[in-house]
Amino acid sequence: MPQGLQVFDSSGNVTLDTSTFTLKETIYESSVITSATTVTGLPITSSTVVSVDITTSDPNIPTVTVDDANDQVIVSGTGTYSLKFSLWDIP
Amino acid sequence: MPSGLEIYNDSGVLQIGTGSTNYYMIEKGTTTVTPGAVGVGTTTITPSNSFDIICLNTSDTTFWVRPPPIISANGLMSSYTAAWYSADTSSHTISWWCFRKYTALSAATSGQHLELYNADGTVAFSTQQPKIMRVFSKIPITSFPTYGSTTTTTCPSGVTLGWCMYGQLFQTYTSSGPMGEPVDRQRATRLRQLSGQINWRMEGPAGRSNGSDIVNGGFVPINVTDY
Repeated sequence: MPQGLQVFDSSGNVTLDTSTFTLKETIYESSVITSATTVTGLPITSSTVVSVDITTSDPNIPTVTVDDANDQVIVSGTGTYSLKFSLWDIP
Repeated sequence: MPSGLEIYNDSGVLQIGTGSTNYYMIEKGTTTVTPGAVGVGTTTITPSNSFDIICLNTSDTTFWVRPPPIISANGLMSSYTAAWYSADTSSHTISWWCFRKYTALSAATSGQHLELYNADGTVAFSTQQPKIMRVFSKIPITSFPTYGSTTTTTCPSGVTLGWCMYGQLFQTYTSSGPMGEPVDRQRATRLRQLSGQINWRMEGPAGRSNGSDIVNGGFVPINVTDY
């Protein structure tokens, strides 16, 4: 029997219990980038999932590397693009 | 020290409370794809409601779909264009589930509900919309299979999952541009869920030599059982 809060819908199905993850989100969005860049000061841990969305018409898609030891995301590669990413805590 | 109620899951991760953004399922549906030919294509999913996040699934043995990134739009989306690969010209079904932030809800003014509010008065959780977005797990991808081959990962039976992805999963290869110059292209990761397992592979134009793998991410299954 799980502990904590359980939520049921009108059919009696559990929609929330303490075995499931919901998500903590922080979104960062860049302006147009034309060179490698590093986004620092992010609350990244070893359980943080970084989701990336890159908008570009350039065939050279940049590479995004998560550096959780230094709380930063490193964007490398040339081209013209904008990006946004969100942080999710999913151990 | 914050005041109010916080709820943590079995792993000690904050589920509900200030500093946590939660989503509820606002709409689900299916979209039928009838490919004109074998190969890659796209189809646009247009729910009746705008949404922040969408997850997808397909269970046809000859059809694959690329999971959307699990990221909220900076502003709601009204549609999503899904990329797919089909090995035949039969009709196939993509199932989809859309989610919106609880903060978009107005506080209840009547009826019987449990509602939790953020410090700024916005809704953090409400049984007006009990179908909270439940992340089942994450499945990191550490390497790609050879182009055209399939990797199988076991997933739990009896659970309905929609799929998103995080990070970057693609492979570059070199093609020729209009004047014969080299142009980098990408093959993308696609996925399907069959009974008790998911299959995933790289898809893209055949006949290209493999290039650089960008493997820095994975899949995120969303538990939509009974939704």
